[in-house]
Amino acid sequence: MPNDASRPAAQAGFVYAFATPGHAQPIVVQSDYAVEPYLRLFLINWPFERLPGGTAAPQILLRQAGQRVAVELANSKLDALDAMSELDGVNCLADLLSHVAASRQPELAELHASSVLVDGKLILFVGPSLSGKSSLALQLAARGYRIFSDDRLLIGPLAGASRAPIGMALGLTPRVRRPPHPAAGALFAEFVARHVVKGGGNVGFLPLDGRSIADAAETAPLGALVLPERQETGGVVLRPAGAAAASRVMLEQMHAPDVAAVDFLAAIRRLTQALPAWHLQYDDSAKAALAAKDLMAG
Amino acid sequence: MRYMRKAGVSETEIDDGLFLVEPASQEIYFLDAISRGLWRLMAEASSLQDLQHVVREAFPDQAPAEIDRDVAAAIAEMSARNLVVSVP
Repeated sequence: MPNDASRPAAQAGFVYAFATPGHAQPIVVQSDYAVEPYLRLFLINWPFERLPGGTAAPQILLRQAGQRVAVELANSKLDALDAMSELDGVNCLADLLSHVAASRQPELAELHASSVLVDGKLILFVGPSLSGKSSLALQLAARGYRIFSDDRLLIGPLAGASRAPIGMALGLTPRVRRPPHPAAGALFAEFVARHVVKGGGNVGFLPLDGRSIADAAETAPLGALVLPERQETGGVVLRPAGAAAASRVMLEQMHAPDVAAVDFLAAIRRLTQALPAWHLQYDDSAKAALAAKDLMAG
Repeated sequence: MRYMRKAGVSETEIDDGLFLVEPASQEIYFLDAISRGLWRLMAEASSLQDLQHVVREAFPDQAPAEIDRDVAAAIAEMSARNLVVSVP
């Protein structure tokens, strides 16, 4: 759906100010419909308030067209996201909120990774879709560890070699495929069943409470990079990954569009040289998650 | 025709990996082992035949035709990505 700059702004009266993790200025959203009923499915503890219409210029717009919803950044040449329903529209809203939040943090980059707090530091599971990042994090959550991110978080600093690297939670609700794969084990299935809220299709949402998942803007030091690779067989194999291999994965999964490429590479080099990195090949997500967790103890 | 590194392309070494940044596009490229060796050789203008010869000598156990093909492909890719330029 093209973003036509000449199209008039939505006139309907649902305007929200969302707190921006780690930043003072709120993100203003204007919507044709009330988003409150769906927010719990997508965002963990992002404070927001309803504003009177017309009081602030919106950064994000949700426009209804029949059953579908166009979700877009105001004053952007990017195409609008085409959502299939009001629910999916708020899903897209959560994505754009996290992108705007990331863009307001020049010291931090957005990383496509799940992360879990173990012994005061974050294990980052970094890899492409379907590598099992989310399952590995949820396996640890089912065992009492606190998730920082299910899919993405902010990391940095991008400059300043003397400062220890940190991760910042974005407060996005974890998602899970339903039903869980039988190989994930009974503990995982029980954890999912206890928390899941049905979403569309075979996706469920896990609106965990603050004991199980970090609030938006919460930070923690980074402890290790784990590069997962799911396999059909072969058990669980952990082996050290060199900084070059880790950097290639980070390059694919890390985004900081306003940072010059040379500075971005330098930041990746600092991160991968500061953190131990491991390849994790696995056919059993429970055993793999525990093996990764034990890295932090060792 | 000879090939050499394009001026302004920056290098970042991370461990045993070499990454290049093409300044105009701001694209980042990782060089595999062969491309990294070729990049080193192209500090000075080199013909495709010279580059293939050096790599063949470095890997005497590999089929020469396969090496020639790999080197030609690597040079073509680096040219397409504006990392190297052709010189008379």
